[in-house]
Order: sequence, then C-alpha cells, then structure tokens
Amino acid sequence: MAVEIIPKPKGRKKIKVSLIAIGYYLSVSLFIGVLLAYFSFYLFENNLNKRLGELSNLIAQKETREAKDLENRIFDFKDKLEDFAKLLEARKKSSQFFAFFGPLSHKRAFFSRLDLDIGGSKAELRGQTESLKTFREQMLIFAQENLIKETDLSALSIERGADNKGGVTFGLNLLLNPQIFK
Amino acid sequence: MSRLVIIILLLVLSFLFGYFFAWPKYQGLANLKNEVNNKETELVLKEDYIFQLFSISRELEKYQEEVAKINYALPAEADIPETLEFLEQACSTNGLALSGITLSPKSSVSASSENPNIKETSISFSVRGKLESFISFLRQMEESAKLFGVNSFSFGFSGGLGEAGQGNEFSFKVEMKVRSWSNVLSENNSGANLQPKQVDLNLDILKNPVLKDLKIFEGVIIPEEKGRENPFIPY
Repeated sequence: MAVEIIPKPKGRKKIKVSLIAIGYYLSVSLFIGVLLAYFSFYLFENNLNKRLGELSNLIAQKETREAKDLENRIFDFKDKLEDFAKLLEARKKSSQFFAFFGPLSHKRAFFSRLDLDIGGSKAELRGQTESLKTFREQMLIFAQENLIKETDLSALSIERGADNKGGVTFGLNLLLNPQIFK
Repeated sequence: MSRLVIIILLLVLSFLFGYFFAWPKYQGLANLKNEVNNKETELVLKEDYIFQLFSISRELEKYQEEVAKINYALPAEADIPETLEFLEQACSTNGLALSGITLSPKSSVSASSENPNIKETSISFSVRGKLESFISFLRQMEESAKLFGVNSFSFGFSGGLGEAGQGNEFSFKVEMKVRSWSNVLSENNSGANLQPKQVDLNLDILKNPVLKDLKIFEGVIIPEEKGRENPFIPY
C-alpha cells in the first residue's frame, strides 16, 4: 500500500497568524503613536505659548515710555543735526563782500549806493568817476576779476563842465560767485 | 471581533485622529515655534536698539555745549524778542543807531524752500552809522549761533563826489531771517512701539571748529519783579 505523505499546511497557517499579529500590533502602536504625538504636541504648544507670553512681557518691559521718548529725542536731534549741518554748509557771510570789493575799487572811483542780494549773489552799484578813462579802468578791473561772473552797465551819464571835463555817473549790476560769501 | 477588523478600525482611527487633530496641532505648533523665534529675535533686536539709543545719548552728553548751540540755532519757535534784543545790543556795541524794525506778519512765516522742517521769519530794519561799524555789526551777527540769514542789505551816500570821507555816516537797510525748526516727519515716528531702525547719527558736525566759534547770545533777561495789584494804572 502506497503511503501518501501530504505535508500539513502547518507553515502557511503560522505565517498567516504572524502577519495578522504584526498588523495588529503595528496598528495598535500606530494608534498609540498618533495619540502620543498629539499629546506631546499639546504639551509642547503649552510650553511655547508660555514662552511666547514671557517674551511678549519682556518686550513690553523694554518698550518703556522712557525708551520711546529717548528714541523720539534722538531721531528728532538726528534730523535737526542734519538740517543744521546743511545750514552751516550753506551759510553766507555778507561781511565778506567788503573784503572782496575794497581791493577791486579804483582809487579814483566813488560808489554812492550798494544793493546787495546775498541769496542771489547780485550787487547793484551806483557810482561816480571823475572821467571816462577812470570808469573804463574800473570796468577793466571788474572784468579781470574771476569771482565776478557778469558785469552789466545799467546806466551811464556824463556831466561836462566849462573846461569840457566832467564826472561820470554810472550804474552797474554785478553777478558774483557765491564763494565770495564763504 | 476579529483582529483584522480591529486592525482596520485602528488604522482608520489613526488616520482620522492624525488628520483631523494631530496634523493641525503640528502645523499650529510649527507656526507657534516661528512666532516664538520671531519674538526672540525681536527681543534681541530691541535690546540692542535700546542699548544703542542709550549709547548715543551718553555720547551726546559729551557735546552738551555744541548740542545747546544747535538747539539755540534751531528752536521750536523763533524767539523774536531775543533777536531784537541781540540786534539792539549789537548795534549799540558797534556804534550804530537802530530804527525802523519791521517783522513779517505771522502768516508770512514760511517753510524754507530747501527744507520743510525750517520755518523762516523775515525781519527788516534800518541802522545808521559808519561803514566800518556796519561791517563789524555784520561780523557780530555772523558769529552768532543763531546762524542769522542776511538776505540783503543796501546803503547809500547822499553827498556827492569829493564829499565822502572816513567820518561819513550811512543809512543801511537790512533784511534778514530768523529760523525755527519743527520736525514735520516726526508724526511718522510717533507710534507707541519701538521699531528698531538704523541710527546713523553723524557726530562730525559737533567736532566742527566753526561750531565751536559760534556764540550764544546771553543777554536774555529774567524778570526780577513781577505782579501788580492793578496793572492798568501807570506804575
């Protein structure tokens, strides 16, 4: 009689049981893990909220009225300092005109009127010379001066005396280099 | 209940709990962490900023005289009486007679064309005296820490050729401006919170020898006697 050996499906059954068990434990672990993660996030969130509150308090403590006032004062002064520096840089000394103009005056010329516009660096002069020659010499002196940009003759009259000689009355507009007033 | 059902149930529960509770919590946590980091950075920045402000304040205390001159040059309100007193005193010192002072009306106090922070009040006046005295007067004005701006002046000699001499007097007309300062941008800076920003305060101007030479007019009078029972009768 032939003996048939049929292997028991022992192994297959064991494997099936093990996979379900592994799946079971894994799913339980996963579920517990998710729960733990949630609670750790919850605790961590509480700690962070507490830290955030502390930081907000610390910041609020730093932002005192005194600090804010100091900030306003310093920024105000900074702007004022910059404006003052610009003013100082742009400052014009009107008295400098006389130191400039004196040496340019002809020895025989007389200036009877001066209107000086410091901002516009313009000088309107009225004057007299004893002759046309002197007047021309005065004009030449002005023309040779680099700090005088333009010389415009606005008026001129000659008064002849009995000896056919006479004084010259003139009006001049000078456009000056602003450096004169520095 | 079979284990397979439990596995499926747990997986579904894990997914649902994870998706609807744990994941949003995690995202909220990440945002919160960012917020805490931002706050920590803000705290450090503010601490540095406040330290910087106090350092600048201490540094400025070393230049009290120069700071006083700058505040004197650019006061919040133009001190016209003090300016007039200065002019009177400067005229007197230099042998000039002051007359005909005209102030621009309040409405014509205008912002400087170059700088909206600076307001200018125009003053016109006449003085009579020698040219040398007038030049000396102008120099005294130029030495003032007020940085008076002389817009223009004019003078004339009434005599003719040959009459002018060293002793002759002239009549001078001067137009000048007095300045005041208010920070028109300060409203932008009036928030309740400190906002750390760059403080690049250039103190070089405080070391400028020109500033050292400028003088503060010290002729301000403090009233000694005040209070009358009836101020509407002659004293």
